[in-house]
Amino acid sequence: MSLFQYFAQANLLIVFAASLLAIIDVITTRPNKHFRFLTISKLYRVVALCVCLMPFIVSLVPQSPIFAKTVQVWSGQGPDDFSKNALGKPYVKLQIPILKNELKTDFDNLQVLKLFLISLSIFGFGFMLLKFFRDRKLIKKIIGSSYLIKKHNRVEIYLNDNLKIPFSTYYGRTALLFIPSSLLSSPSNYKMSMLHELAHHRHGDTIWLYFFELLRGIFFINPFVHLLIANAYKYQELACDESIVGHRWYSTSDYCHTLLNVAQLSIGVQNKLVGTACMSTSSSFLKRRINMTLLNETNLSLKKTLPLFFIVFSLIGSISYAAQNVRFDKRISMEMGQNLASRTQASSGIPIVMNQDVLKWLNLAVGTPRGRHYVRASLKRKIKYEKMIKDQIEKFNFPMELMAVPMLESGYQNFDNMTAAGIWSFTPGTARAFGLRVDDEVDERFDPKKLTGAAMRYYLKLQKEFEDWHLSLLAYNSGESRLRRAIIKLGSSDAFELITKSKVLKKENKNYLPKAMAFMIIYHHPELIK
Amino acid sequence: MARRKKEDSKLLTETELIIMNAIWPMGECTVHEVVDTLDQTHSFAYNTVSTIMRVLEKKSVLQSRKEGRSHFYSPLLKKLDYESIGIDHLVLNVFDKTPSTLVKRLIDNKNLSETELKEIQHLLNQRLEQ
Repeated sequence: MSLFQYFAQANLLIVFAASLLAIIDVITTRPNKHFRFLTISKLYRVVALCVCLMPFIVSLVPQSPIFAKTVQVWSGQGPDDFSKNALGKPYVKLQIPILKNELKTDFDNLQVLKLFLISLSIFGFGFMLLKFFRDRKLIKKIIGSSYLIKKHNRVEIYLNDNLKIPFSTYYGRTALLFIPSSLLSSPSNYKMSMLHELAHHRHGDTIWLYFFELLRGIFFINPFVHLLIANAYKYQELACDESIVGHRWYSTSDYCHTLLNVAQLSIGVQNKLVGTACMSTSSSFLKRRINMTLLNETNLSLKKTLPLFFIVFSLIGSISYAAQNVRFDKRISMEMGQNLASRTQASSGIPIVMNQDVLKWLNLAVGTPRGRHYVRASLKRKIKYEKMIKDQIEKFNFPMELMAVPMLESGYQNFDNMTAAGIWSFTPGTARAFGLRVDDEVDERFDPKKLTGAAMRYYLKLQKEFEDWHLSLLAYNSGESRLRRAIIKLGSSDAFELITKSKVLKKENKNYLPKAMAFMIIYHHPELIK
Repeated sequence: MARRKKEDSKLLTETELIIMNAIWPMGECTVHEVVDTLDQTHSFAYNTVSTIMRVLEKKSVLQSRKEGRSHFYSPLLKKLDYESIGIDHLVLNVFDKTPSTLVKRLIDNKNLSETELKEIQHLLNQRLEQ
């Protein structure tokens, strides 16, 4: 999985997770009954972790077709089944008109967009990193101007004259608490704010803050990550409130008083430092906190919270699983196509032509989920017949590119439909003409070896008549007589001129040659569908 | 996070000043004595006062000596010195570094009685004669 793919999947998950948790947030805001805030706070942490790890975990799980094609970034219509002509049905008409130069511009725009997003993310990460180090320096400075009033193991409490709001942070493996000395004038404020900040350390909030900030840095451009983190911080505060208010030793009204006091002090205060937990909150949230503290609400037991966890994880897991099938635009530009064609040409016995039609088919095969699926499956099935067909082709001294023909004829499927059968899609008439037995008892078209022999003899015949591989390929699909008529009528034996101008050839025949060219390129460059 | 503009660190905070105002008349004292003195006006807990006094010691405003199990604190910063620090701060930050404005504002104050004004005049004359 490429890094960009991971990044895109994780972003998708963040959008989903943030929305889901926002819904839970709305539900829990309802009075009377709510989940334990500490539980939800933990849920946020696990969800944030999941968002980061799920794309990795799920990529290890084998793909199942149930989720295939669920999400796709670019949804150009696939070439349907390439073997449709073998089934005797017309090709599905393309609904997306491919204009000249359109492919190229699309591709360039996408590259530019990708580059833009990447650079924006790097910029965001750099910005967060810069902010983080600036704030670390600031905290160091605050420590310098503070007075250590209590130290117990790895907890240090500082008093600072210049601070307005109490805050806590985890710094250099020590849990630090900063209490503004102005709070000392009221013993209850002093005590409650200290308890609150200590609760942050006890819940591990101050350590998780770093993780959340890292997440924010990495997915800076995703607005949902900010929503997710803002809500996570909110629940950290609520969980601290809950742990103090739920305690019989501490007075609820004192605590509310402290909350109000700190809120008042925080008016006009600068932004919160990165990696610190502080008591101040927005006014609407303050109301909720005080409501929560004063109303003696019943907490749902852990047992009742478990389904919530289960639902959230199964949803995130399945979304992540579905996101595995996100296809990124693999469309090929004309420039790339020409490059590919010339590289293929170097090792090809059949002249490879690149034009808008070929490019269209190439893109439908490698740039759409259905096309990719089809090509991948064909290449997989090809392995079984590869040696046998190669031997036959060598025997006739034909170009190896003929290996691509069964790919577009049948996708290397040895199957029958009412009109044609076998991997080379022979009609009964043609099969009989080349020495195969096709009757009610025996159908030799299903013997790949015999059918390949017949196909080779057919190509030999076509080559003898047309002496041009393009025309032979065309005739293989349209039939010699129809091609002959088309050549006579148009007065040209250029295969590509014929497919653009001839009125004798059917649309199906006209598509055949560009498609064959595309598959020959794919035959030489199977990495295109990797 | 709240950070006020950096100001003269020598200026005491509100709470510190309350405690110092209790300590200055007493001279050397223990935390208990300060708490008892403040008990009439403020309800400070023993721990709070102790914390503040330890901070004041770190700020070199107080000094302490240990006798038995109790600490005795005595002011290192004299009240007069702190008054002048306060005035300096006031002149510097409020009265645009011009002390005369401060005096003018003081004299204009309607709360001043005639005797107080006369005393100010007397002090000014005394200072000028020196």
